[in-house]
Parts: sequence; C-alpha cells; structure tokens
Amino acid sequence: MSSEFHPRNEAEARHIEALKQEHLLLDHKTRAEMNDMVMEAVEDTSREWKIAVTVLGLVTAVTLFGAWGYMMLNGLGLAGIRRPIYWGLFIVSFVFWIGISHAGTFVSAILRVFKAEFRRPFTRAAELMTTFGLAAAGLYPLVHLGRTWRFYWMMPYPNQRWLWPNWRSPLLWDFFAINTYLIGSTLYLYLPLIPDMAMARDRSTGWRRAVYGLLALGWRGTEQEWKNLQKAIQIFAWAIIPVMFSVHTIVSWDFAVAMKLGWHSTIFGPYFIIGALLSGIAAVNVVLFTVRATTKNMRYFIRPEHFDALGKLLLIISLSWAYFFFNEFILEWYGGEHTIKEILKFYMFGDIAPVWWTMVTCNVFIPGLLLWNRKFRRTPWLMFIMGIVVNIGMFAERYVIVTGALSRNRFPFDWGWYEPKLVEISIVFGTFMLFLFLYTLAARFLPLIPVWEVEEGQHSHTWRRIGKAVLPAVSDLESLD
Amino acid sequence: MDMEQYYGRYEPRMFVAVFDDVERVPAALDALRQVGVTDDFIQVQTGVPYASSILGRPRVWSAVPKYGLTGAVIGFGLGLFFTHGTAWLYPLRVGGMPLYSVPPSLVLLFELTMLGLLVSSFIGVLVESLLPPVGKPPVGNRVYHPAVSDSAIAIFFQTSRVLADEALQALRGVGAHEVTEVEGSFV
Repeated sequence: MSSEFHPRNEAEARHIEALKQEHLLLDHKTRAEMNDMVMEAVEDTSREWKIAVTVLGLVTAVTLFGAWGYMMLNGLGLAGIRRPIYWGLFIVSFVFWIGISHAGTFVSAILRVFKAEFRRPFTRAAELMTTFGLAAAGLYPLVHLGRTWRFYWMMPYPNQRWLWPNWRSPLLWDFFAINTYLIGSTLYLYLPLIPDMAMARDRSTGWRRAVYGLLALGWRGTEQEWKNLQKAIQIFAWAIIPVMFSVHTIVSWDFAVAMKLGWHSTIFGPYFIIGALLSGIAAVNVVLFTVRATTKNMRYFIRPEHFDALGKLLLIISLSWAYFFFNEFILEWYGGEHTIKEILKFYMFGDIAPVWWTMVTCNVFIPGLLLWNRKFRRTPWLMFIMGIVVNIGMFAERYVIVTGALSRNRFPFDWGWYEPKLVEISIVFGTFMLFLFLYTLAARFLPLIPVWEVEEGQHSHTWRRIGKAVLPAVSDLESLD
Repeated sequence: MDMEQYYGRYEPRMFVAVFDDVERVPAALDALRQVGVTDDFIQVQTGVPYASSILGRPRVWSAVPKYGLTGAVIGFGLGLFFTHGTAWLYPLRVGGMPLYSVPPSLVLLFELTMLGLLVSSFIGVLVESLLPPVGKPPVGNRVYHPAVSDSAIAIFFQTSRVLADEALQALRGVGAHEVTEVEGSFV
C-alpha cells in the first residue's frame, strides 16, 4: 500500500518528520528492514548475554530450587508461618505473580478488542510476561503444600473409593482457573507468533531454522491461513478477558469465602482485579524499558509514545484502585465492628503500619501526583522507576491483606505476628530470578516484536490534508472482510 | 501432432507471480481471470492479512468458530459431569442437604467451558490451515515463496500449457517482478 505523501513546503516536511519521529506506525520501514532488525536482536547472543543467563540460571537454581528442596527435606516448619498466621510470604507472592500475569492479557486482548493502535509493538512482550508470571505463580501452591510430592491430590480424579475432589472448594477452583488461564494465555501468545516464526524460519540457518520451522507449523500466509488465524485471535481476545477476570476473582475468593474479618468482603473480587491490573501494567513499563535498553534495535519499535499511553492507563488504574480501596476501607471502618476496628488500627498504627503506608504511598500518592505530567510519562527511565514503585506498593498490599488480617482475630489470645524466614525470602527472591531468567532466554529466541502486526498498523496509517494542515489518518483495515 | 503432444498442451502447470505492492494485485488477478484462470486455481500468499475485498478475491470463510463452539459444549459437558455427575457415582447424603449445589458449580462450568472454547479454537487453526487435508499431498510439496515473509505478495496459479504464455505476459504487464514456473500443490 502506498504511503507516499509529498509535502508542499519546508515547514510541512518538518512537521511530517516530527510526527514520524513520534509515532512508530507513521515511521514506515520496509518489512525486510524490520525483519532484519528483529532477527538481529534475536540472534545477538553476546558474551554479556551468556554471562547474564548463566548467572541468572545459577542464582535461580540455588535460591529457588535449592531452598525449596531444603525445605522439602526439613519440613514446612522452616517457614515463618505459625498459628494463627498460616498464610505468609508464599501466598503473598502467589497473589502478586497472578497479578503480574494479568497485564499481558489486559494490554493485548483488551487493547486488541478496542483496536488501540499503540498496542501493536509491545503486545508480545506483555504476553510473555503473562506466561512467565503464571509459571512463577504456579510454583507457590506446590511450595506451600510442604509435601510437594502429593501435588496430584489437587487433580480432578477419584480416589480408590470413587470419591472425587470437593468441587465447592475455592482451592480447586484455583486449580481450574489458573490452568485455564495458563493454557489460554500460552496459546494466545503462540497464535500471533506463527507468522513471525515463519519469518524467522526463512531467515535462519542450522538448528534455529529447524526449531523455527517446527514452530511455524508450515505457515505460508495463504488467505485461508490468515482468515483462520484472525478468527482464532479474535475468539481468544474476547474469551481470555472473562477468563482473566475469573482468575483473580477466584484468587480473591480464596480469602473472601472465609468467614474471616478483614477478608470476608463482597468487593474483594473487583478490588483484586484492579490491583492485578495496576501491578501488571506497572510491570509492563519495567519490562518494556529493560527490553528497549538491553535489546538491539528496540528503540525504533518501543518509543516514548508507548510509555505515555501506558502511563495514562496506569494513572486511570491507580485512581480506580484508590476508589476500590477506599470503598472497602470506609465501610469496614464505618461499620464499627470491634474486631474490624482492631484490624484497621493495626494496619494504620500497629507493627504492620510501615507496610500499609508504603502500600498507600506507592499505589496512590506517587502515581497520582506524578503521572499527570506528560514529560514524566514520556521519559522511559522514569516510567521504569514508577513501575518498580507501584509493584512495591502492590506487594505490600498483598502482604497486608494476607498476613495483617490473620494477625488480628476475634479473641486477643488468637493474635500473632508474622516474620518471614530466610527460606521463604530465598524462594520468593528465586522466583523473581526465575522470571528474569525465562524472559532473558525468550528475548533471544522469540521475535519480541510482532512484525506483521506492526506492518499491518503501518498500512493503516497514512497522511491526509485538511485545509492547510497535514494530519495522520487511520483506516480500519481490520474490519474489512 | 501426436497424442502425447496434444494432451501435453492441456497438462496443468503451476506458476508464481511475485508483486511488491498490493495495489497491483487486484489488476493481476483480473488479468488472470480474463485469460481464463478461475479463482479456484489461484492462491494468494501475503505477509500481512489482506481482506478479500482488498485483493478482489472471493470471500474466505473459516470453520474455526465451529471448532470453538464444539469445544465449549464439550467443556461444559465435562463441567456438568464433574460438578453434578460425580456426585451420583458415590452419593453421600448428609442431613437432608442437597447432593450438589448449583452456585459454586457455576465457577467450574465457566472455567471448563472457556478452556474447551480456547483449546478447540487452537486445534481448529491447526486442522483447518496448517495440516494438509486427508488424502492430499504431504506438506513438503506445498508451494511457498519465501519473499512472502518480507511482505511480497505471491500469486500462485495453475493453468494449462496453452494458456500459460498469455497469462504470464498479462502478469508481467501489470508489474509482476518475478514470474516463474514451480512444482507443487496448493494444499
């Protein structure tokens, strides 16, 4: 499709050039050039990269699997969870990673459904976060079991007496919801990857060509193949959204269905979802900045306009989180129930207060004050820091909900204080390393940019003259049949 | 002219014409039709999805939603079996309580329905577009032009020897930058 546009004078040419610098989809390159850029990034396995992967792999092996193995050998008693606080850092991290995994789907599926053009270059980077975030989250139910080798008891099959698992247990709902989401989001990551795998296949040699060829599944780009792929992506984009909502709602029900003050709340489902989106979108900023800074040619694909758009989204979600948080807080406080008042007092002024105030500061005050500023949103390293700050806040939120509420019960003799032990801290640290390890590996194997989607977006964007002004115009090619 | 030569003129041959710009493709397809090559014997390969209306090709239908729907029904059935059916396999009646409860069942019914929908849609893509139909030549013989992944548009068409020259000339006339004969099949 022709994208040629002839400016009438010098000023118009400068204006067009400025817009091209700003928007990826106006800054056309040929597909061959973009393919080269993406493949150069994929094949750039420098010495530094190899060292980074080795170190991350070793640290993951020691801090995650080493500590986990040590705990399995010596028992769950090594962790700091004691009566009355039976859920600690493992469950906090489980909820945290499930939250992180929400961003990929949110950014990709919802923005795809709404045809938000700015999504195109970074959907895959976000979807990868979902898959690896779920991989990290999925470990925690196993870690928390203590006797991990009994994990198959969670699976839906009958025992010798033909008794099946309890379908009414939220823990079993977790099993189904997380697996549905993991399978669905992995397939959703893979589907748009198929044409890019074919591109990689056509441009590589040796073992890479064999692997890419296998993953491309014989893709040729026929009309029928595109139609089937687009239909499937459409189905996935619509269907994965309610699945995403269901997953974190069910995770919130792990708490809310218990008759436990501080947990038993009808608002917990949406409150958890909005929290997941907040941490997830913040994490997308962190990942995009890191990918842009460490991977070749990514500055062309990931630009300040993308951080700007994500910053606006983050601000809206941060305000929404504040709204839900306040709704939950005010009603519990206003109700005046004695134990609840003790819990709230404990949150705000008790031993856990630093964590509670960190949560409020990082999730509401800092984003609320800074993200209004366009310059701030358009500065990638500032958005990276913002992503980290918000995630500290969201980790603190989960810590307060899980351990804080369990610290204060109806009777004072049932009160307690939780201190995470070294083995727990090591495992939690290890899952962060695992995430980084998997992501670093994937960034040098999978084309992180969906090139065909970027090209499709560039075809949709052209120039239009209205009076004396030249403007970008977008055609809705996706709606054509 | 002997029999072999006579029938040789009607022996089908396959060609590919490669274009850099999609704007030329509708004209190329019209030219092929004018020569007598029907749409059934044409396949267009592209590096980005172009709607049939852009290329001027007959509308393409996809059976993937049917796969999805079938999977959703199977998933729902599996959910019903888990949440309601298993209760009947070994009924434990406790103090007049019902054997199963509908509201909590909805969670599993929803998850398994969605799982069925998603997995079977994916299977639909595999079966419908990427695996060769039963009884057709294996994947290795399927025609493909690697320039497609660099956004070139490849028009593969099959025609008889008598029409080939005319078709090739027409395609060069509308700007094909490469027109060659290939071996293989569409499927």
